[in-house]
Amino acid sequence: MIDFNGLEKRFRAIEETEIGPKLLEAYASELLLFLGPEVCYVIQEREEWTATVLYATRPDRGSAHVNPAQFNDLTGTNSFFFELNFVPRRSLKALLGDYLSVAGLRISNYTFKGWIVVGWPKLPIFSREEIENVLYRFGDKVLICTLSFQQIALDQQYRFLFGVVPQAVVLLNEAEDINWINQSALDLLNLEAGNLRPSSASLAAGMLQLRNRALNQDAINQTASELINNPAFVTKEWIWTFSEKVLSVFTKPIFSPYFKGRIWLFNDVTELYRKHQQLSDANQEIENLISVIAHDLKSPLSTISFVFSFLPMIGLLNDEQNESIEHGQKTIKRGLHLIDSIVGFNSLATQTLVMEDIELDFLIDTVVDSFSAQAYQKEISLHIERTHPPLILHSDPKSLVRILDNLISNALKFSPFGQRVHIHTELINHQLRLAIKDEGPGISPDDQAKLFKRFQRLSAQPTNNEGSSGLGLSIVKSLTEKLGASIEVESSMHVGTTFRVVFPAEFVRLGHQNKVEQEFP
Amino acid sequence: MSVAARNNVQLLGNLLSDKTIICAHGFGTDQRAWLEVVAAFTDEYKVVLFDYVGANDKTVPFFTRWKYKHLHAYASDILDIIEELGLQNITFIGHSAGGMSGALAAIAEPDWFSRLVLLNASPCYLNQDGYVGGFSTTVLDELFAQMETNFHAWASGFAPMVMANPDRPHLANAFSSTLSAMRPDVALAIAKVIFYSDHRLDIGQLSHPTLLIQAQEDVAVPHEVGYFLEKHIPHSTLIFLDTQGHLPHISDASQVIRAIKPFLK
Repeated sequence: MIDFNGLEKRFRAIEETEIGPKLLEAYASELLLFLGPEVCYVIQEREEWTATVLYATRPDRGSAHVNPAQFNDLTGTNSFFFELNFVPRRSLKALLGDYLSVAGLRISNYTFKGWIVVGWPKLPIFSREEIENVLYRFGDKVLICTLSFQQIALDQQYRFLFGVVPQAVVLLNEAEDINWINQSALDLLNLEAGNLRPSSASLAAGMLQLRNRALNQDAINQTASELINNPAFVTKEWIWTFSEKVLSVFTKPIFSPYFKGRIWLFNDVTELYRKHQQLSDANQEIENLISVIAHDLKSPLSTISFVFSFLPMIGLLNDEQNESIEHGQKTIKRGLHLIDSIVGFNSLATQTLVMEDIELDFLIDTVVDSFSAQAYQKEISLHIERTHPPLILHSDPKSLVRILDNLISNALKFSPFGQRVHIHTELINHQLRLAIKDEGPGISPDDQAKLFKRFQRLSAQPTNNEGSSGLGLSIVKSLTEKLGASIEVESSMHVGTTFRVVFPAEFVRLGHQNKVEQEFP
Repeated sequence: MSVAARNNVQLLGNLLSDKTIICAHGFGTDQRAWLEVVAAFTDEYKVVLFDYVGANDKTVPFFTRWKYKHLHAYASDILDIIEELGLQNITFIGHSAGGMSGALAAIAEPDWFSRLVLLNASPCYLNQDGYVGGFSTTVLDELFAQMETNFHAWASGFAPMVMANPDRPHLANAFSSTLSAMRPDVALAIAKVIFYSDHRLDIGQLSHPTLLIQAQEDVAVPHEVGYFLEKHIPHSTLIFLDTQGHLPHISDASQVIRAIKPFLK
């Protein structure tokens, strides 16, 4: 008779002292003691034809891999087998060749699939039921061991992962008071050295202390209060500034059936931030300089214009002189226009948007109408095409008019006489696509690459001696982006060019069928 | 699923015969490499053809790095097949590394085999301690680097070199296509197992009558290897065929048949 209570007690005693690889060995030694077999194997199934010997009382026996087909056959219908005259097949000969009686139990669990096999050189003194009972109890212990191996392996992998990332990482566990952090986080939060599993209380204190040292506490607290009110909150661009460094903080909740918590990543972006600051300072300086130069250039030009307009009053001028003066005035006007464009472009960066609901059709009709005289001069026909019901666009009307102005004016400028310009709007996937299409000479691929840069001289020329500052498209691009839209260009040489401004769905909604009069600048 | 399915086993010839021939292909080919040779034996023998795991699309799903890291794993697969089909009185004909795997299987289960024919086989490819295997570490490293960088380009260069017989380029093309059909990472893993294998100490335990067939001018297996095998396999006979290349069973099947027939009598 087997003393099952005694066996369980022994198993429990082992659990209190052993851990890791020694655990399975200790359990197995109890099994050997109670059941008296000469060998015990724990065999893990890897695939149909391959199994690994996970534990062997005689590790010198057989290779690391065996073909478990015979075990599969023996445990096909019943998970337990007990053979009194066991004849091993080829692959099991080395393991079990010396044993007359062999018993085995199939374990088929998510954690472990395989067999426990024991062998006696002669007939054991225990009944089939007793052997099955002991193997069954041992099977549970094999599962515990496998789980504990897996946990140790996972723990090591996480330790490694946390160790190699440069960011400070904090993984808060809401269910239990065991949180995981890495060395960088330990340093950043000034926590007790060496403890990579700090308590929630010490973590909270460390994070609060860090926050209190920040220079932009108000901004941080604002986001923090959102975080407190909304457990699903995910941060975006949360910057914590300190006298000596800048941190970009990312936090995201983790909700799974088995884990509830939140991960915090503290990314040191000091270097990036400093470079960005330097660049924007340099940029600001350049902008300021341009503004000053532009203004300084404007006043001598105005003086020359004044002198020119004064000339006819001094004495009668002949036709040639009058013509020269007119030419001079035109040139001055072009110069002033150019300077205005430069100043205008400069002010774009600082100009604030006034977003409002705009009735799109009305705005387009108005803008296009203002070009009718210019189009008439070049015998160009303007066509408005739309394939959607009335739309409301949420945007800044001033900027939108400027974009349209620039694009339509360009289309007219570069189109030969007698051609057509199309202003086409459509809704695709709730996005508004506003296209200005001309039948001009097209833009070469080389030119397309530099199209939106400032002061670029492109190969295409205005067809009626119109002026061009080289700033129009860079203004369009800058404004488009400011409005949250994007601009794309399609062009074929000698066929024409289409500029398309695309507004995301969030700015577009269907309007009322009845038109509402609206004023536009 | 059966082992026969895993290794794409095909039974041909005289199925009632109590004499069995198992043909094992080498690296870069599969069982089709034997079709011309086995035709000469199908009247008298039960012929078993199979593909090693990893050799082609059919078998590659069963390839695992942790299992197939020694030729012993392939030897074990051969024994699985023999056991499942209950084969007896076996003449094992194996080419190159396929032959060496068969030798390891015969050493493990000597009673299951009657005799072996090893075609252009080698127990060790690396030159070391005065042994001439044909390859230096530098050459092998270069070979593996090429395989890794552009497997298909490597295959199309390696095939004509190994096949030889430049006057019949279709042979090299055919070899190149079976080689290219291997999954590159698996081909590289298998090539490493083969080229780094060293079974010089094992072959002394091969107790069966063994016919060693070598072709002239084989870039993979120099003559010295043939002499080494003959010296260390107790009951072996070495024959050099008057043909070139590492794959004489494909390039000159009739010569291979003529060499094997008297040995089987």
